[in-house]
Amino acid sequence: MKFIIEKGQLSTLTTLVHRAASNKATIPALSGILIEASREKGLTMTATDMEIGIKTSTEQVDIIEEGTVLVNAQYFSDFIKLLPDSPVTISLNHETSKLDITYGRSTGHINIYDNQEHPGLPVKEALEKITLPQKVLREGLKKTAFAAAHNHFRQVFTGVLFDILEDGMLKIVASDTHRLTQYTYMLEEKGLEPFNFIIPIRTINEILRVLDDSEEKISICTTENHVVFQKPRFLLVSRLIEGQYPSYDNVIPGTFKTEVDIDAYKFTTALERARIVPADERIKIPQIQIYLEGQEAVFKTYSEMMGEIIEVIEGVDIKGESPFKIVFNTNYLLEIARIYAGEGEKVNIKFSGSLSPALITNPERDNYLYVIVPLRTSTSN
Amino acid sequence: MIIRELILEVGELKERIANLEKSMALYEEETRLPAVTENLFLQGESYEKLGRLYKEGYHVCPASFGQVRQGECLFCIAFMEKE
Repeated sequence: MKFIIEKGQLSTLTTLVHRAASNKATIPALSGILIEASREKGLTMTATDMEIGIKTSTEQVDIIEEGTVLVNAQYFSDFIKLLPDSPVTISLNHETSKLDITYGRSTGHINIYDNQEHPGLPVKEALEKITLPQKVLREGLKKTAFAAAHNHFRQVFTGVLFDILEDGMLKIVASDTHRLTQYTYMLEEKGLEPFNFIIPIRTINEILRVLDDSEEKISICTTENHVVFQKPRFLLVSRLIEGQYPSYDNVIPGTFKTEVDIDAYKFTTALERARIVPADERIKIPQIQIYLEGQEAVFKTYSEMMGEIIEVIEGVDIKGESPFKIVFNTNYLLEIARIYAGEGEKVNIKFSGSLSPALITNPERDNYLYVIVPLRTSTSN
Repeated sequence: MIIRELILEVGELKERIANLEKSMALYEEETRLPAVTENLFLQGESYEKLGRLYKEGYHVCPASFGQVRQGECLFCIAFMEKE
C-alpha cells in the first residue's frame, strides 16, 4: 500500500474517525483505524469500538499502490495532527511490517496490527429510513440533546428519542426527568409507518461534530439494534438504546394559570449573573426564585457564602394569576435561556402552578419547546 | 483471525441478549398490564398513597416506579396529575 496525500486532508479524515476507536487496549483491533487505499474508492478510514463506528473517505489522494493496513488510532491521529502542512507519503513497508509516514526528508515508522482482525462496521439491511437537511438535524439536536441525562438508572434517559409519527412528523425528544426538550420537523417522506428509536448521547455528540448548516441531506436508517447516519463519503453506525421511552406527551402541560412574555436577552443575562451565586452546600443545586407582579419580573438568588442578587426586569407582559412565585434550578433555566438568546426577541413562559412544570416556548417559532419542573423549597408548600 | 471471530461472536451475543431483553420487557409488560390498568383508575386513598410515596422520595411514574428519586420528576408529576 502506498499513497500521497495533503496533510490537511489526511488530518481531517483521522480526526473524524479516531474517536470511534476504543481507548481500551484489551482488543488491539478495536483501538485501530483501518486504512484502505483503492484506486476506485480513494482513501477510506474506518474505526469502531463495536458501540459506535465511523467510516469516511476522500478522493483527493494519489493512490500509488492499493492495500489495507490497521494502525493504532490514537498514535496515528496524534502524529498526523502534528505534521507540517505539506504532502505526506504513506506506505506499508513489507520488510519491517511498519507503516512509513514520510514528510519532507523525515519519516515516522508506525507499528501495525493484523488488519484481518478488524471486525468492520455492523451495517445490515435497513428497516426504516428518513432523510433530512443537515442544518435541520443539527438544529434539532443542539436544541434537545443537552437535556438528556449523563447517568440514569433508566438507560433510555441517557439518549435522544427520534419519534416518527404517522403523519410524517419527526419529534426529537430528550429528558433527564427534571426537564424535557422537544423539537419537531415535518419529514418529506410520505406514507411512513410510525417508528421510534433512542440514540445514545455519545453518538449524538459525534454526529454533531460532522453536521454543518447546509441544506445537504443526511439519511438516518435503522436496523433492529443499530442506527446508521449517512451522507456523501461519511457513515456513522451506532448501537441503539434498548427500551421503551416513557410517554412524553403527558409531560407537556396544557393548562396554565400565569403566562409571561419576557425579553430574551435580559432574561439570559439576568440568569448568567445569577449563575455565579454558589449553590447552598446542603442543597447543592443553584436556585433562582422568580416573582411576577404587575409588569415586573424579579429574579432572586441567595447564597450564605456570597450574598444575594436581586434582578428586576421591567416591562414584562404578565397574563393570568399574579403575583406568582416559583423556584427553578438556575443551570437548567440558563441552558434553555441561552438557546432563546440568539433566536428571537421574547421568551414565553407558561406556569401551571408553583409546583407544576412550566412550558417555555419561542413566540415566533412553534417547532421547539421546553418543559422544566420547579424546585420544591421549604416555602413552596 | 480468532480475535475477529470472537469480536463478531460477542457482537452477535450482544444482539441476542438485546433481543431477549426486549422479549422479556414485552412479557413483563403483558403480565403487569392488569396492575397498570387498575392503577389508571386509582381514586381517593390510593392517590394519596401515591402522593405520599412521591413526597418520601420515590418515583411513582410507571417508568421508574419505586426507585429512589433524585429531585422532582416530570413523569411522576404528569402521572399523578393524570390520576
